[in-house]
Amino acid sequence: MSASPPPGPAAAPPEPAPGRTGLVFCRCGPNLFNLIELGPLEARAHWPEAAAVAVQGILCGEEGQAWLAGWLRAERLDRLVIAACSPREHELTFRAVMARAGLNPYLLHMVNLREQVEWIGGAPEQATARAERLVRAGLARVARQEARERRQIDVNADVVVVGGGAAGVAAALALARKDRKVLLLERSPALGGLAAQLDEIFPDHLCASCFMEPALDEVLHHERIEVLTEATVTGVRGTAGAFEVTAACAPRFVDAEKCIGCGQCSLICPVEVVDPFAGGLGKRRAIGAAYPGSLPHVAVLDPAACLHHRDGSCDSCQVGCGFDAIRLDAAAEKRVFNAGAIVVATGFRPGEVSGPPGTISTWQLERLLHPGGPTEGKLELPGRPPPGSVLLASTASETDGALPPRELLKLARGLTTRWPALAVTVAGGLSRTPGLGGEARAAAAAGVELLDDELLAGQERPAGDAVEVRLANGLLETARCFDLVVIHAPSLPALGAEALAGLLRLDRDARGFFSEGSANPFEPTSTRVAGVFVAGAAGGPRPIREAIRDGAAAAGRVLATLVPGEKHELSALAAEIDPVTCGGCGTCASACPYHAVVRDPATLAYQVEAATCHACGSCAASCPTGAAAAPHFTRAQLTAEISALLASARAGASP
Amino acid sequence: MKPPPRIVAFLCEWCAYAAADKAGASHQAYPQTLLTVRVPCTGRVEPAMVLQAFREGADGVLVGGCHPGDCHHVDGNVRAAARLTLLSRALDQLQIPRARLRVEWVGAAEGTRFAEVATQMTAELTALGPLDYQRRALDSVEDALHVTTARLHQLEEARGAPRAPGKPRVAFYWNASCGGCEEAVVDLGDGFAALAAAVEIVLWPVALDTKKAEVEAMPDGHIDVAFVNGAIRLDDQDHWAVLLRRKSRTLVAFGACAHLGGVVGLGNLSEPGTLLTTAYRDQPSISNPGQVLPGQPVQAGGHELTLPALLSRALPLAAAVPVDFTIPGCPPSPPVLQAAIDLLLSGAGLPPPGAVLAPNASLCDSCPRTGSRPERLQLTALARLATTQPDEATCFLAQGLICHGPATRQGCQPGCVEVNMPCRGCFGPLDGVVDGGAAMLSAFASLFAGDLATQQALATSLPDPAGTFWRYGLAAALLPRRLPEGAP
Repeated sequence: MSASPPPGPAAAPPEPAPGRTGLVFCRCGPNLFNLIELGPLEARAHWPEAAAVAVQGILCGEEGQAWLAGWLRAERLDRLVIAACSPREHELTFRAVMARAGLNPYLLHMVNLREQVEWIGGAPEQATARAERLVRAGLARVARQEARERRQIDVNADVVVVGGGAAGVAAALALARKDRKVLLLERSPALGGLAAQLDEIFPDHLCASCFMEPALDEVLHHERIEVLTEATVTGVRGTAGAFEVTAACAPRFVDAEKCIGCGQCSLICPVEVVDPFAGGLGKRRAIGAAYPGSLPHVAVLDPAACLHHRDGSCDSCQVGCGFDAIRLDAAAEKRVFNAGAIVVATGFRPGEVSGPPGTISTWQLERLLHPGGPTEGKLELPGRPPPGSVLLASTASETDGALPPRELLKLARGLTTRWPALAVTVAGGLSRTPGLGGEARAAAAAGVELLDDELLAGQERPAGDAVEVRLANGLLETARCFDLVVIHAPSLPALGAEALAGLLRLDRDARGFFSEGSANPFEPTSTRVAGVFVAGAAGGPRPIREAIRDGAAAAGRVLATLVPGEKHELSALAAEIDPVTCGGCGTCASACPYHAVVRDPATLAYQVEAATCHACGSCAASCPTGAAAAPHFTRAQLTAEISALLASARAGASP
Repeated sequence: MKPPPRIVAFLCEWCAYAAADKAGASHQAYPQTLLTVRVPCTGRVEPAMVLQAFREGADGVLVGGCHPGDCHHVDGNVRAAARLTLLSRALDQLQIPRARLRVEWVGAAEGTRFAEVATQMTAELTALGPLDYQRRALDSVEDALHVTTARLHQLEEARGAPRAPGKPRVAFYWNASCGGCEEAVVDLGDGFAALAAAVEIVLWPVALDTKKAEVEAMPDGHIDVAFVNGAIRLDDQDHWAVLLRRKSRTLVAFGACAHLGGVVGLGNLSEPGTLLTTAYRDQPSISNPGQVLPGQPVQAGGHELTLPALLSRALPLAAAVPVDFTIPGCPPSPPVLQAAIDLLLSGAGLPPPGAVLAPNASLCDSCPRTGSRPERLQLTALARLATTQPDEATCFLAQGLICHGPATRQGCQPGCVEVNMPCRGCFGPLDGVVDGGAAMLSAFASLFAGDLATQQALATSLPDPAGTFWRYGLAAALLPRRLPEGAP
């Protein structure tokens, strides 16, 4: 009885663009229209929405495609519905035909009559009625489709590498050797990261500084690499091929051109502070080299410790420097760089361990053994007798994988080599780590006691001058005493990793390391964010040589995807946000799985970074004002499609 | 023989659509009941589209996507699951059986499973019978109101009548409302005094004793602007709406109840009969030994008295008569109301008919707390207003509280936000948004973070989605009332 339109706030979808629509039924050889009855469907009068209707035998073949191109021109059509096979089969084929005929390829809609109607069987009337509804919906949809163009942007082939450790240095060198300009940002005053602070490198016990120095020297002198120390990333805008990176550079308070690294300022400085590079075991002055042998070979001042910066009461170093290299009133700088790619190589940092006196971490032992360390390589702890027995252990909760057993074995060998009389025990679950058989045998041959046990965390107790620990091997627990207990330091993400993840919109795993993983396993070091790569321990603790491989791999990805002079093509279907209707609620950014929606810091409105967008449409589904739109799957197109699919239902016609 | 159901199937092009192709390529037989809409990801499926499908004749909706963890678009399917879980609980409140909305994860290689899902869903919906929402839930009241194109045309004609000289003639009338909109007029303060001096108020039941017969005696088009607040809940209110439409050159829907049905619209979650028996028989404090319900004729003083009859659902004003303009809000704020009155009385620079007289921008757009929200909000926990003291400077959404600011037209300031209460959406949606409640539901669910189980748990934790997201707009929603009881 009711012939009225439903009342309510039904705002009709925008009127279709003027255009002539063609409708082609393809018989698909013998495959279609055996069940679906073509007779009632092929009449031109049946489709007032179409300017021209045709039936073809094999549209995808050479002849069929040639016919289609001609027909599109002869009938002056600008958009097309093809009722045939699945679009997954031939959408690209027919888009190409349209492009060759001078039409926009996005003005095509394929109605899937073969796989999803004809071939599933059933009664002919039902199949035919359903086919009719699907075609009518396709015509309603295509009337609202818009021409889309692929866009291109000029790319900047320069690269910013964040982190000057093994991975960052490897990436920077590989890129600079291929003529790319590289900006290397290092947070601390020294290049080389953790690798340069080690004493020896596993497994061949190479001297770490000999291992790192040639590469660090090349980086510092390379004409295409600019190194900034005490630098952190404070802002990232733009997209792959066109990033704008803002860095804050804290002052060293020393002129790098003038300082020759003589160390005189350290001797003059009256202030002693805990040395951050000695694992908390040593002291340093407020000014001086970061650690002995650190590169660049330039002193650095710690303003938190410096008396001049506290109350202006001292300027001894500036006065006493024979080279006029000290600048007590240097200011922080902000620098802005344009680059096409960003390599994140921020590494990891060793955490602390706790326990009764005589308990230290593997990192602290590293620094103790280092000839430039707080004890110049002597195995002594303040206030304790020299140890006769040492335990090197890791706990069961360590999830670091490759690192703990390598660390423990390396340190064990370092100890026995220097002090053959020392009783060294390693309890690190070595049987769980493949590939260490040879090293383990060599350690055993050198007198190291190797246990498969793990350390039970938190159960260390003082026992006279020694430390009692509990070791567990499966269900079997034993208590043992050692003069010195060295526990593997937990591997933590670098300082500033969380902030950097936020700026770059990178995901982090449960431990806080950057998640690697673009969808493609053949693109190592790529992340979900186009143009951003993660190399080395920034993605999770790993041995130095692996970090170096990652750096080289990241450089390879950059060299392959960012070619000077080329243009990047952006997806034609990247989402768009209308700045006028955008209320800045940010729901789109929350919904986007690719973190491709960013907020303009000035206007607080949101925009889509087309290079990062994968056109999934989630932003459009979440937007409460309609500002965010997914081209080719717009609200207007989909609601028109739904209405047309159900139109016969409303009119009361069956089925 | 039961008719086959119509199932609108949103299939993601990477998994479910491919599975459907695979089923066909292996010539698996399954019913010809799916009306397929191909989408780039289930994350593209809007709750409003599901509601549109039900309104326009679908018996069921299938949303098919990649398995969680395998989504081609990382976690678009988890977004979809969060939105649709929340929607399904609102559909429960509308008494739409769960079987009618089905979310299935089907991988690209799972042709057989796709065919099974289609077969099972068809069988279940065939047994359930057609949903037929339009006819069962909507048509009866339209019939009663005789809302036909003929009626609309008649009313258009009346407005062309010549205008008698004199000050502008203004009417205020109330349908099903609380009286807050009358107060809003008085709350204009000095503006009200100026208004009263500038116009002739020919009808205002709260203040003047104008009789219905006097209004009926007015020539058509006699009233320059009629401000009608309140939803249409009784047949008598529809009668007045038609009467005032005929007598007015400009008819304004005044306030949320006239605009969207308002809170009165939440009555649409119950059968009208249930509303009456609950109020007049079942309350512990009621004394009604005769079990009398209003509406039955009564003899009094030699007269037979009747009361107006409850319509089968509450309606916004525009569902009964053509409305020229809308002043939104519950109630409209003084700045919005003053600006609207000034505009309407000046007659200059009027927007096109149908316009809402408040800025077409969301509350977030001008909210002082916007800067406190992180660029990408991720909610892992929700908070309830009743058990939370909101921070005075931080965005409510960032505190896990539901705030309708993103989906709601601005204009109320200073409003709820300024007294540390989250927005409840009374100004309604922006232009072009068909169902504001569905829009806000989708936006809110899109803020959830975590894995599938976490997000579904968040969605399930909201106790009253229909009342929360459609607090002011249920009567104007895509599905404006519960499915009636009784066989289809």
